[in-house]
Amino acid sequence: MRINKHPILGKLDRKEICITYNGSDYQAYEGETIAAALLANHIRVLRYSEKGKKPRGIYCGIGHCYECRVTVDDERSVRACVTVVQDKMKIRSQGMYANEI
Amino acid sequence: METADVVIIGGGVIGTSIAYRLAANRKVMLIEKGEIGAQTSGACDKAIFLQSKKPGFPIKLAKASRMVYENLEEELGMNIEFQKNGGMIVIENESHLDFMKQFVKQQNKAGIHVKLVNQKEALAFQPCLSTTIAGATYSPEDAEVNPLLLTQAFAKAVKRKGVIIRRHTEVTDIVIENGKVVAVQTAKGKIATELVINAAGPFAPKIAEMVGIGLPIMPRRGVILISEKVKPMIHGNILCSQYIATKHLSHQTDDTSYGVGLSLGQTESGNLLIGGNREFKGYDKSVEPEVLSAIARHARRIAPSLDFIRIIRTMVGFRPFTNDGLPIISEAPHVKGFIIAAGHEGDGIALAPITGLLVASLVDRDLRYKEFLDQLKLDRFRAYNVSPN
Amino acid sequence: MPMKYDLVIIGAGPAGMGAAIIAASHGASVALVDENPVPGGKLRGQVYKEPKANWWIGQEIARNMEKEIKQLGVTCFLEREVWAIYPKWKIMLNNGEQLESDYVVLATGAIEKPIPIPGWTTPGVMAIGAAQVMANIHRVKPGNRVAIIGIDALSLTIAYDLKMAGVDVVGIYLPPFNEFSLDKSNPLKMIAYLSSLSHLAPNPILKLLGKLGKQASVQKLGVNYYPPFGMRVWGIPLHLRKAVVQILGDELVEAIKVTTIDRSGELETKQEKRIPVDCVCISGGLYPLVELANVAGCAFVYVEDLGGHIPLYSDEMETTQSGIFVAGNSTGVEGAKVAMAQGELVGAIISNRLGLLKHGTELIKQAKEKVNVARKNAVIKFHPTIESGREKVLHLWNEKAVK
Ligand SMILES: Cc1cc2nc3c(=O)[nH]c(=O)nc-3n(C[C@H](O)[C@H](O)[C@H](O)COP(=O)(O)OP(=O)(O)OC[C@H]3O[C@@H](n4cnc5c(N)ncnc54)[C@H](O)[C@@H]3O)c2cc1C
Ligand SMILES: Cc1cc2nc3c(=O)[nH]c(=O)nc-3n(C[C@H](O)[C@H](O)[C@H](O)COP(=O)(O)OP(=O)(O)OC[C@H]3O[C@@H](n4cnc5c(N)ncnc54)[C@H](O)[C@@H]3O)c2cc1C
Ligand code: FES
Repeated sequence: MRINKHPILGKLDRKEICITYNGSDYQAYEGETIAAALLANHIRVLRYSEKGKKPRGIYCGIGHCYECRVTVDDERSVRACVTVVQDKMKIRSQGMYANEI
Repeated sequence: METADVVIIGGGVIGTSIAYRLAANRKVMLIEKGEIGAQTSGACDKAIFLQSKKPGFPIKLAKASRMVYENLEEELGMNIEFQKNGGMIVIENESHLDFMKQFVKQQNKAGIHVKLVNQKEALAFQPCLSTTIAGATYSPEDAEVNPLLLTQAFAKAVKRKGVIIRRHTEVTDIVIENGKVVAVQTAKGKIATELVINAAGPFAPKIAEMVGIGLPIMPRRGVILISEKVKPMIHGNILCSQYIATKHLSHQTDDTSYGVGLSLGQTESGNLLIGGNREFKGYDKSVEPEVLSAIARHARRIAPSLDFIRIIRTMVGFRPFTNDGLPIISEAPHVKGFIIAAGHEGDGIALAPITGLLVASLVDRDLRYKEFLDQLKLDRFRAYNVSPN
Repeated sequence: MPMKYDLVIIGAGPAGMGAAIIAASHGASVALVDENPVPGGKLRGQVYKEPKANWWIGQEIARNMEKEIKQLGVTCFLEREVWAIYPKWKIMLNNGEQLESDYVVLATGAIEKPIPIPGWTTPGVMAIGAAQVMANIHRVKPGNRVAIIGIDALSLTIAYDLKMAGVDVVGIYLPPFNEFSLDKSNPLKMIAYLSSLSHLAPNPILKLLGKLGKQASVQKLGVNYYPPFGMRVWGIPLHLRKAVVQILGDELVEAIKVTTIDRSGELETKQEKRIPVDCVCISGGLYPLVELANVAGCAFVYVEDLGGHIPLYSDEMETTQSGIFVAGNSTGVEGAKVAMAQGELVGAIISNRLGLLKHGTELIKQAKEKVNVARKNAVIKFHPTIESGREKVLHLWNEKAVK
């Protein structure tokens, strides 16, 4: 899914780091958001809705809709589309609730 | 000019519940300035508390309303999230213990099932509570309902019964001829009617002024913090003894500023409702950040697990306060065709079902609820005229 | 305890950064707050060819502005969301910090209106802007086979962005009619709208469309003879007579269900077709993000040409709450250059109020002119009648002032 070469923006040249999503390791690039890193790894499902337990992914991509909430390291419920990945970051999809493990 | 048998002013939980009972054999119009349920009835908790009511008439009234709730969901044909999960009043420190022991004794005598539980028992029922609390009272009779759904359910039911609802329509005047109501003037036209019901909640005094009556109702502001959706962690509703003190003994409150007293509940979808406080600030909805902090601090002292939970928004409502904590459900003394049904303070959700029945009884002039209505008359206060004529 | 500044700016998009640079360069102490980890706002996603000029690469411009801001000593509070503004004026950040200032600029930008369509919550469906963020900022394809729903300046611009990024855009479609899509589902109205976008369009798609429906008679022809199989612009099929009525797939998007719209605008359900895709982008239009102005108690007006409800502002960009200014898309939806110029104008006005300018009146006049020029030369217009919208606001302001 990576756009390594772009006619105007040129070549991609970013530092690789490693993140964990639901227990599995994935490659990510420094400076990108959790949502971008996961999408680059073909992951779209970020949580399940409270009512109906339906899968949800990003929607607005700019921090407004809160559809992209995931759980990071210390239990924080963050927006995947405005939160930057860190090396060794542990990310989990959310079940029905923010404080659910 | 449009005509109606009855015009109800105010589309909160009270106005819609009245419309529901009056619609059977009359042409009813309900006039709402904004959206249905968007004022107090949309900015409140969801408790139907019995154990906190004062002995005597207030308990009787609350019980009568609670009875109506038993079949209400079925009757309205909509899920209103009515649950009988019981309720708890947390006793934060030893100094309230004596007062609360007294309270339990008095409530038991009045026929309420409420018992004192120690800290261990309280924590077993509500694991979110702090190990520093002194104990709690618990009643299985307390219940809860989703107030937003309740008001919408009433509104939907009355539409089915043919009631005409006008939203975004402000009542600006009431026309009186020879001491009798003849019409209601709205921002969008006049409606001829001989019967008006003032169900404008905290705004009821402004409506009453239009017919020259001063109502002893004051807006008592309350704030609730709403959290993100979290896994079920509260069973039923929780109040704290400070809340009871603030509510019943306004002279005896300690210095927890801004009238803060915990009320804690969780909606079916998982959001926590963290309240609250009681302040007289007119109709001003701008709440200082200090008030929000005070509410949050107080809540986490009693339920430390709230620490990690995020607040996503806050809401502000005006409880329609009366001096004796009871609503006014009464005909106006000097004006024919003007009924007041307002002033439910912090119990409007709990008392909405009975209020509809009481007003219907008043309009029909049957004697079914005479005993209740006698206690809710306006003339129990020193009513006064505001206009010179 | 609150940290005090001469000026607090909320939103580090082109408007907020423009204001910060001007005010700081005149010596004001400035705090700039944004919820994103990097300044730039929506500017960072923008890439397009300017008429008779070079490529406009938003990320580079944003990076340069960021450098300037740092050199000027602006304090950036990033990854902080402002949740309230209290009188007079305390700015509350979500991590508990508090800022205090006599002057506040709300430069919170715009966001997208969603159009709910059956299946729109399935992972793989996103707002069109999200696709731009993914492709242009993060360099990740939003999908391999993408369908776009909603035809407007933004969706056409981003269709082009995706094309450049090597994404297979299978088609641009109309939304089905519902209370959210309204005119956006009507072929005739869409052609009329497209014709208004023509004059300085940033890419050939818009130019081509501009030609399509200049006059009312042509607009009619457009609907009647517009081929139901669509036409291709840059290899992207543009369907003015097809609506996506459903997005299919349980865990992930698998396909769209497309129906032809007949000449009167009705759906021909017999013509339903299933088209496999892995991503759907919905474009419902933009509206100004103005909650904070509401929290601060500013008066509002509704101006359709500007994108909806906006805080009423004066010709000095001040709201009805003294000391609270607005700039950029929070005053009406326009391109980044206009937003930047508006920011610079507000930066100059506030510097003047702070007593930092020697030739204040002259500078402000120049800054105002810069906004007008930017507006006139805009390469992208979200609302064809933006100028009359701006005039309307000043009218309303003056009316209010007279009262
Ligand atoms: C913080 C808080 C917590 C609470 N918690 C609980 C609880 O747990 N349990 C409980 O039982 N109660 C609770 N209450 C109390 C309860 O919310 C109120 O008693 C109840 O909602 C009052 O309903 P109402 O219909 O009388 O008033 P409202 O809901 O305020 O309705 C009055 C309506 O009249 C309309 N109106 C006003 N003027 C005009 C006009 N000129 N023309 C047309 N329309 C007009 C208004 O727009 C409004 O919609 C709480 C209240 C607050 C503030
Ligand atoms: C999805 C999308 C795509 C767009 N694409 C284009 C395009 O291709 N070409 C074009 O010319 N225009 C485009 N625009 C229009 C764009 O809004 C303007 O070009 C320009 O970026 C507006 O600048 P601004 O500074 O007003 O706002 P923005 O650039 O939107 O910046 C506002 C900033 O404020 C932040 N913010 C908002 N509220 C808060 C808060 N409470 N606390 C902290 N931070 C906050 C936001 O996160 C954002 O970073 C697009 C707009 C959107 C919404
Ligand atoms: S996708 Fe909307 S907030 Fe992240």
